[in-house]
Amino acid sequence: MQQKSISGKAINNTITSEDILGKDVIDTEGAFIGIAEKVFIDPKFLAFAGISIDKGLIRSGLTIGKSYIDRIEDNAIFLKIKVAYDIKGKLVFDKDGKEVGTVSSIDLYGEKNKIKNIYVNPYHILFSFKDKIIIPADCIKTIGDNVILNVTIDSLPRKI
Amino acid sequence: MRKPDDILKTELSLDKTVNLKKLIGKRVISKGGKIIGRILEIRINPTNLELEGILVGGNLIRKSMYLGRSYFSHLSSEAVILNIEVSVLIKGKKVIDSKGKIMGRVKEVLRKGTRNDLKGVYVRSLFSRKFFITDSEIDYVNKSVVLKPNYHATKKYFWQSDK
Repeated sequence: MQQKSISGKAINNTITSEDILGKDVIDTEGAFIGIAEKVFIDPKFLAFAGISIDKGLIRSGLTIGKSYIDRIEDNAIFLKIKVAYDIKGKLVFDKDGKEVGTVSSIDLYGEKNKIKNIYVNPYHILFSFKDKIIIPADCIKTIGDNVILNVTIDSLPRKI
Repeated sequence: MRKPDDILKTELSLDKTVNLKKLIGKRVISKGGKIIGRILEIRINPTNLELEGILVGGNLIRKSMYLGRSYFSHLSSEAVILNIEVSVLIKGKKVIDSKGKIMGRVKEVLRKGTRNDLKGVYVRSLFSRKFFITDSEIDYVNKSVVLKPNYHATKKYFWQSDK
């Protein structure tokens, strides 16, 4: 039976929450981030606000605002960003390719997807009890499979 | 060790050069920080005596590779950092179309001669025949190979004929 509509305007080109939930979320590098598990709607403006992503049993979930969503396609949701939190666990190399350590945590600018600082656990296992290294975002040259800095290890500040 | 006597014309002084012997066994890192392997050999051009390339060790899955110096971005006594993402390492990556549909995985990489430039990739999924995707149909290659919206070829299953 055909469904009646009193939407006020055409809603033929819209999608429903069912078109979003359960879809793969892919970042700007083509990396699989997780699966869309919730849709957020602004209760005041009744507008789509963002999605929450289930990243699996081990990793904690993630909420993405609509401004970071590029497009919603038939099979996946494409983001227009590379998720800053995904830097965690990556290896860090200095300008000369010397291993600095592994990213343990990050500071963002507010709730934006912009890195302020990264905290690195020093490389050598024997020195793992030692201070973490704070690396400001300005010192990062590239973030890809791992992180490459534009400075040498000796010029980096250390935390208490 | 006492400082050696310099016998130079226009060459760099000793402290500004890198000891190649120490580079053997050091890491080769791609532009994005991917560890490619370790340096096995450093090759020089016997005519102009310049460094030509490095031989990077492989493993059980990956063959060793000889990388020309034009692909070097930075060379230090710690590592060689490249200015590229090595295209042969695309093998095994997921291929997804612009709608997010998984087309399969890269089975073979076709390059332009010996260069790092991509000509295309052969893709295969569990039930599909191997099919070729040209470089012009690829939007970008990073964690996955993402195709351009103009890619409309349908997957051909193994029971379907070539025609």
